[in-house]
Amino acid sequence: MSITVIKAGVQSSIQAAPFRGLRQLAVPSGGAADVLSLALANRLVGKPYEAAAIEITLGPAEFRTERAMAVAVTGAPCQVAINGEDAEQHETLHLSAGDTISIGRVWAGCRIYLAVSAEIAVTPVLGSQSTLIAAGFGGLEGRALADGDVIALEDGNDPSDKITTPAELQPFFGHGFVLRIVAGPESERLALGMAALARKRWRVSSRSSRMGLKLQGTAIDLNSAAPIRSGAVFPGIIQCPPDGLPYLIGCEGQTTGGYPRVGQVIRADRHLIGQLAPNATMLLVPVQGEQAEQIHAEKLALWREWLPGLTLA
Amino acid sequence: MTLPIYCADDWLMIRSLDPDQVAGLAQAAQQQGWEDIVPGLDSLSLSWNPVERSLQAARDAAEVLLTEATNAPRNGTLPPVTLHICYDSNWAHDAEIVAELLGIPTDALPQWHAAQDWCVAMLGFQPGFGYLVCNAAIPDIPRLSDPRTHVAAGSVGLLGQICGLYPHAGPGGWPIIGRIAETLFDPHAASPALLTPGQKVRFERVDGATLSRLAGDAA
Repeated sequence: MSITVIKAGVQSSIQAAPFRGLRQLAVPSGGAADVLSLALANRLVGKPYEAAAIEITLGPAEFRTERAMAVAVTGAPCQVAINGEDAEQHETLHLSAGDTISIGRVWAGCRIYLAVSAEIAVTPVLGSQSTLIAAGFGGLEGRALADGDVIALEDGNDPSDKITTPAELQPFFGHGFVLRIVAGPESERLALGMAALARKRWRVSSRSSRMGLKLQGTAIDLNSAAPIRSGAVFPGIIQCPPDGLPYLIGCEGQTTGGYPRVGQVIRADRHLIGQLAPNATMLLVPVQGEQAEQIHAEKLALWREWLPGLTLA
Repeated sequence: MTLPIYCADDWLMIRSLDPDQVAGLAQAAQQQGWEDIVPGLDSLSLSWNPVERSLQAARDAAEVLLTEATNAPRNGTLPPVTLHICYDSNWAHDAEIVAELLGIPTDALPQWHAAQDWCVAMLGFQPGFGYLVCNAAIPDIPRLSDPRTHVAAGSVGLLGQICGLYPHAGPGGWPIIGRIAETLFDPHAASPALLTPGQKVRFERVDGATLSRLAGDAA
């Protein structure tokens, strides 16, 4: 039993839980770029939040199943069709053997998640079924999916009922984002303080991937642009390279770096980085560490009833 | 003023450490239940899940670590690792530039390199990539102005005062002075990375044929 990739599009890959506790070996976190959308998709097909699913970048993409099963599509808003007939995001869809599911181009946001009720049969590496595309391991042969790939499926529990994510819990993605940040280890180098990051509209350049996103806007003035002694970076770190234009570390970004770290997107908002497409704009709003902690607790509380035990990383 | 501990919302960093302190604190931190313990060249970063630990508790744990562990002797040093290195010119593309910066003849570079007391300071850049430091005074060796599109797996570079070990083939900007036979990273192995921060590294010189045999290169 399997699912066949008819059209992989810009970049599709198998993503599940992040690689945890391996950053000291320089293994990036990886996993779903938008963990909330992965959890919402898996919830609709009755699987654990971090079960392996297909992450689709920008769309369009198309898949054919050789097995009857339930699927769900979440994440960036897009058109969904089964054998050419319109279908909905955020609800359980039932496919028969031989059905084709087509994902259109995103209207906003960046990444779409296709969860399937059958188990995706890729061997876990270092504790995760996720694909680290740059490092070349995990997922299907350590690479992005290609047209014609056949993804093996194992039997799963195929829910026959149809559930829908409550409307008020369906994330809304537009072309503008607000990301809350705390100061980075080298924020004292910002000539204008955190205001240098906050009072601007940043635009995501085409140089963006799961590893990181180059931002466009007015270059930042640093008191010193000298490199730092290499040290840890985490997803959501905002680096300031010599050109003064921020580089935002993505889920699959390097674990260490040598550019000044001038900000850090708070944990509660990091899943949104996965929805930043080229040309999206963002505002960076500085908060204190304790506020970030509070925001994280409130965000989990918002989803507690629908996604009990959700982890945002 | 720069505080000794930087704190984000789910990770913190202890700054201004020497390599021995980084390794010592990293070892002591293993008892404290962090999500990740990430050594840097002169810092140690620790992350946690805010569901399991408050910001204040994390900060307190880091201060305990800093006060109690800084001067404590490390229990049990890691066994040193020996790496078989070939300095032949077909692997040492930039030996001439590096030797000139060091102020030694090119043919003296292998002996100089193998004689240093190298120690793994951290891993970074790619899975398993080692950053090695030593006590010798090394001038600031610059990055190649024109990075290579292909560097062989096992390549040994010198940049700044750091000796870098490439686990995988790929593009690279470090001046290259040799190649080792050992596999530095294997995601399918029980212990995926060969190197551990704090570990001493000894380089043993081998000829090209021995390197190829040890590295399992195709004939």
